Amino acid sequence: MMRFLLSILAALALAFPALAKGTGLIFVSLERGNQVVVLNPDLSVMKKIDTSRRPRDMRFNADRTRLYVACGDDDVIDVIDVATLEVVDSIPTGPSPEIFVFSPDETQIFVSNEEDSTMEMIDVATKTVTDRVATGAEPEGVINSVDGKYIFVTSEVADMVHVVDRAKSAVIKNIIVGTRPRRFVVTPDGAELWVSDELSSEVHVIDLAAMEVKQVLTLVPPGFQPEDVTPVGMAITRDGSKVLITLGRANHLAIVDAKTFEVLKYVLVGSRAWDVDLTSDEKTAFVANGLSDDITVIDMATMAPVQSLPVGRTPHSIRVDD
Amino acid sequence: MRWALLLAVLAGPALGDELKIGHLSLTEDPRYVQDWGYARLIAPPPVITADAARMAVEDLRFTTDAVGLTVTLDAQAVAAEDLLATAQGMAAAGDAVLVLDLPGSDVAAVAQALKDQPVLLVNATAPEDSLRTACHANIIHSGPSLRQETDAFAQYLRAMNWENVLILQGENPADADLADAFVASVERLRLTVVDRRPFTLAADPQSREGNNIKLLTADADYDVVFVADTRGEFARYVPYATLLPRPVIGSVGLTAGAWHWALERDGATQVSSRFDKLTGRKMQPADWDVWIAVKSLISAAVKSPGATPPELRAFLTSEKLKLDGSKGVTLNYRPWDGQMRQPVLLATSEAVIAIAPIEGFSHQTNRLDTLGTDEAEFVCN
Repeated sequence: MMRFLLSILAALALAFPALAKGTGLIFVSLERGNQVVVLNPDLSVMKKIDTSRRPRDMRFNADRTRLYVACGDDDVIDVIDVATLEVVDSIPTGPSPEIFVFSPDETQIFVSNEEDSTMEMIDVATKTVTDRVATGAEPEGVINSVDGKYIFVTSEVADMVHVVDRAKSAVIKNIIVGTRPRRFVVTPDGAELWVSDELSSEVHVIDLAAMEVKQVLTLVPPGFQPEDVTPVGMAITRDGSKVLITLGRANHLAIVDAKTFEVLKYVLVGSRAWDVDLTSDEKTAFVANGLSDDITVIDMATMAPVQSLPVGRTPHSIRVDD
Repeated sequence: MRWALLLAVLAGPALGDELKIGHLSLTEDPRYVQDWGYARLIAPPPVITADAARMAVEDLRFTTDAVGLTVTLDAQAVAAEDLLATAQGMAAAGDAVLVLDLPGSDVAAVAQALKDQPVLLVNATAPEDSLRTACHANIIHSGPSLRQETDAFAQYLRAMNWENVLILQGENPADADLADAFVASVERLRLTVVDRRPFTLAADPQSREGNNIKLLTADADYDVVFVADTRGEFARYVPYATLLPRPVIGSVGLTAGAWHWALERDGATQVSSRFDKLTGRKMQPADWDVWIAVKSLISAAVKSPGATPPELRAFLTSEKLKLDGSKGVTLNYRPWDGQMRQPVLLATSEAVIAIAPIEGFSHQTNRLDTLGTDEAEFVCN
């Protein structure tokens, strides 16, 4: 959804160049480094921004003037000014925020607090919590439906996806998926929700019209046993044709045809590959490798790794501003 | 707040199912007696694993409510002489599964006493391999076996190239069991036992060959000392006291276990801090053993509604169970001995040093089967 909005804005930016222009910078949050590393488009380090402790998920606002960073050990979302690359504000959250999204209208933040099993709804303008929705233990992935009516949250312990009605601030349905569900993507047409199941080596695809599981993909690169494969991070191309799925301990990225559910390629990356993001031209993908302290750069045309780059302690999330 | 939301969720069709889980322990379990807890790294307050059972029920409440499964926990701590009568009573009262936090001999007695009852037993905390090879049809084992733990040590020694081991063994039968398991592990990986020496707590000078640590560790060349002392009273004095400057493992120093509060990957921190919040103490390996036992039972009941105890056992010992124990790998129970496959942590008092299976140890079907008695070598006694 965010990406969809960004693409609209990117289109607007073409029409009105002054309105919004990507800096081309690449941001990597370092969970143990308490920093966000900023890389130039040529991958040289431009700046290391000190943040609150344990920075994890990151999101741009729609016009990409601000980068928001969930900091798990200080219970805040830090706000980085993209122009000055300084932390300019922070928004208090519940304990241990990990993954969050903005509502499509950007008035609210929805954040999972893994320590107290809630999804908080935070009013961006006033920086106050307006509602808390109880979830199963260890909630993680959070995403909007394309129409903004629903928020989906995974519970890693309950093995389910909670469907939260935004207007009612309440769970209206639970969908049982694989073991330890982590992250999401929604297809650009709004029809499907993909969920990565870290401990069952699977991805569940949910039909959002029926709110039911329609497909289960098992991802096992050649030479691996299923228990070594731990899918976590995902990204989807703007045309909805390909989904990129990091396989954690299996040290590979799976590139999957989103229509046929076939794996097109397993790409070798670093150790405990988690987050993945694409450049806006979708020629390059970046993978953050949590246990080898580096990122892997992947050429999407050949679906091959082209470079690995050390970035600092325990990279968690990666976002490209272009 | 939470309850209101849960009610909304419950509006769907309920299966009307019920799972009654019993938890049975001793009021005075010799394994948890404070005086014998010397080797335990941070002397724990009395371990009451019923807390861990409660936490597992709470952890999965969202799931059980969503499918309309009512889970009740019937926790009983009894004197040793009332054990069998209580177990019979719990079975008669309709507990479909009993999670046992009991010494090995009591586990065997309960298994025998309930062998004709429709009850599935989970041995959570007794590590004896003899309980596995006894092949009771009504029992599975959630905590690691001695052999799983000693295989973890052996893999670590092999990986570190510490090939020659001196074993110091105490006088309790459990110490001999531990040393025997370690020797079997060491032989499988072709490490060398330099010597196996008995120690004694007797302090008289005539026993000095057995009570003086310098003498006990003299006249041998070894890379590492393995202490088999399940009560720990002797073990705690061994590190830094050996004649040769060598690391000490086993019952002290680097120890093996199912869980450690310092484990911080794979959601382990969240499990430990939930436990801390619930009980005000650090989660011990025995707590994890019980927590995962209850979690596995509820997960199986959710995915195979209405199952009888034998059907539940069949599900738990199949690939269909994909259980998350916050140790980074899917867990289930082995069909041949009912033992839970799981990583074993090698840790000091402060940190998890290694997690077995150690990188490089491979297996034809499941790497977790490099720990414990594998199918091909398993024989029922």
